[in-house]
Amino acid sequence: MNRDDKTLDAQMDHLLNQLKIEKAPASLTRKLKQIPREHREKKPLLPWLFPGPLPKWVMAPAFAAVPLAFLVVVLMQPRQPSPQDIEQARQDLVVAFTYLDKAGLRTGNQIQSVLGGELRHNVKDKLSEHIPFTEQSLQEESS
Amino acid sequence: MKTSIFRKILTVCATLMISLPAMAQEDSLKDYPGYVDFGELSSIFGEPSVQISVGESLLGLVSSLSASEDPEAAELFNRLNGVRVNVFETTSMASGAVDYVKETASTLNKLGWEPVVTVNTADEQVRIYMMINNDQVEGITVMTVEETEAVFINVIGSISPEELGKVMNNFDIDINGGHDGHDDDDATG
Repeated sequence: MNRDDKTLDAQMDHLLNQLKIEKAPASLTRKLKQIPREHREKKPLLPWLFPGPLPKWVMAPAFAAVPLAFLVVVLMQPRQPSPQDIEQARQDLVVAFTYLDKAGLRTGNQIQSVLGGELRHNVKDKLSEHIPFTEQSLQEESS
Repeated sequence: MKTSIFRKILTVCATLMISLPAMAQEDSLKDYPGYVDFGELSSIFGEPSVQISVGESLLGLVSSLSASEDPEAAELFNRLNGVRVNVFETTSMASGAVDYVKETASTLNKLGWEPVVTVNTADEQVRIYMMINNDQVEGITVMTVEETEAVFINVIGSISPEELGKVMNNFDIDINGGHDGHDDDDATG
């Protein structure tokens, strides 16, 4: 570097020093400040489970838990049965009690086959005090 | 990958949505003394041909709706907590069926259920048990197993035997063909 160059450098520095310092635009300031944040080393969330960077799928169960919790809360609410539900329940009850009666009839037949008709009536009369559906079986047999 | 996880989540949600109400209904009955846990019936008898589980809330509604046309039935339903029926159609006596009935009967005996009727033959097993506390029937359990059919019934609640008989006289149904009104006199098949 010769003397002329040095003179030019000095002049350039002098001119630059005369320039006013302009304030940077806010957006640029924001972007510049983000740079160190983005490049900061992340601490692992569960170091004993994931020593390295956290895999993206780890958050999937957390996201799934939200709608699941919502569903559970909704389902735990007592649902008002529809008229169809009630009619279905009524028919179910009729079927259920008919199966009960069928069991009574079956035991009645068994008693008859073992003891004979006369004794059966005596036994079933006693039983019908406790099991009314054997009484129903007797009525059907007599009709 | 994302779609697969999403589908799995949806499947779990749908399964829970279907099974939770039934499970909740069944669970709510377990605390009653008249409840009987029949265990894994399907492992012995296969899939049920009829499966009924009517809980307390539906019984209450049926009761209130039946009050005008059948007051006796309404009164009975009002005091019941649940009615559960499992029917299995079989082609022969299921393997392990007799043992299952005997083991369950033994368990019921230990739990304080009173045996009312027992039919114990090679081709037919019938057990009728009642849970009685303070002279009040709190549950009826019926198990009938034969070659063509296995039926397991559990009626939970305060039952008056006289009422039950009257209510059953009013029912007229063909089990194999559904409700048949008043046309068929042989109601119990």
